[in-house]
Amino acid sequence: MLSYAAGCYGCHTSDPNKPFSGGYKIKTKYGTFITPNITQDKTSGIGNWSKTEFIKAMKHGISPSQKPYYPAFPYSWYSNMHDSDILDIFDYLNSIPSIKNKTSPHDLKFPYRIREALWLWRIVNKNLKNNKKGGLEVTNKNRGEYLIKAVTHCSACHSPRTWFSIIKDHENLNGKIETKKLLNDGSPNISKDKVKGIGSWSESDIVFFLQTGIKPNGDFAGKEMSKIIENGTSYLIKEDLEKISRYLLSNKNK
Amino acid sequence: MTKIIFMTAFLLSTIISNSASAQNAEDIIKYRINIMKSLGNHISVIAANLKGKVSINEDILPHSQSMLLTLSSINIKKLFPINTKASDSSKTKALDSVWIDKDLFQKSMSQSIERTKDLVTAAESGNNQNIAKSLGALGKSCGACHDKFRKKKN
Repeated sequence: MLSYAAGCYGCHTSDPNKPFSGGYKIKTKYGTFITPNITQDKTSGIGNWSKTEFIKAMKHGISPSQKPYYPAFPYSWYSNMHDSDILDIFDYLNSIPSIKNKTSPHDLKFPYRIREALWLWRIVNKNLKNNKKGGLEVTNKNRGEYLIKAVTHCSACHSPRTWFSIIKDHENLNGKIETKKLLNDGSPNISKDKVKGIGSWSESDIVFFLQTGIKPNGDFAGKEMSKIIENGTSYLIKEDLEKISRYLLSNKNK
Repeated sequence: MTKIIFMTAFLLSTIISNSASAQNAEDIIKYRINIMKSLGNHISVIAANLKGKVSINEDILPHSQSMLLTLSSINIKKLFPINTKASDSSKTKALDSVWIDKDLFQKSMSQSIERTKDLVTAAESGNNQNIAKSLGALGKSCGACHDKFRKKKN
């Protein structure tokens, strides 16, 4: 369930017949990111990774060869995940068929293609980010918050970003305007504001939307959110979706 | 004198024809928005039952059938005439792709009709789990069409 809800399947699958084998293209204003193979294949996948290396990649965005990952990989959010949940994902990836699929490198514009520049980005991000909510414990009280801030990483799309692509406030889910036509990187306001956000939705409206993509007014989720629902949130059990809804409608969601 | 009469008649006919055409465009836009809203209302009725907000499950089948009838009766040429493009009116959210990719638009509409037929079949079975699945599939089909042919809401 976590491998789907956290977006692993959605982002690392371009062909449903070859799940988790990468090759999915994410078009951004920086160029196109091509997701890697995360099946257990030893040459094109992550078959040689240890549990420690997997946790380091997920929580710190550093590869086993000590290279920084681009923030298109949402490790900032996963850094809030419990090691036990991350290891559950690792075990699941170990249990599925290994697929040999060497994916192409990212196709990024200059200067974004210089991976070493990410070290500088990481320093700035570390100083500005407000996403590390350490000590989140899985209790019935804050599981919704944990799922939103650590697992499903809603603010990755629904929080405004600075010009340096850094999210200043992960608790601001006011959405953002599309940077360029056809990129589909805009996102709606999901704050609890009754007019601009989803404050007028009921708990069951949010649960139903995250299961089916259908809004209370009978309209539907857009293309990107439909994929997230189909490949991610629809895998969550109803109780977890109810906890997410409760958080989104609570005062914690500004 | 005859020249002046002809010129005046020509100008008047142009003004009247343009105004009639503009009015017609606005009316067609309102008309098709109402059709789309009616589809959304049917979906809201079905969804309210699936969410358990109301328990009038016997409404699911007639509302699914009404949706199928409405979608199947849509005549794209009449509902989306060329003078109702967004570039000509701020009242519509229809993108110019409706008129540029006509075949794709028709195909997307046909796919939604097929998904609605599946919904009617599921509604006939009375199994809410199957109905929710079919409604989700219809939602995906409609959403994909909106993405290509409807202006995004900001």
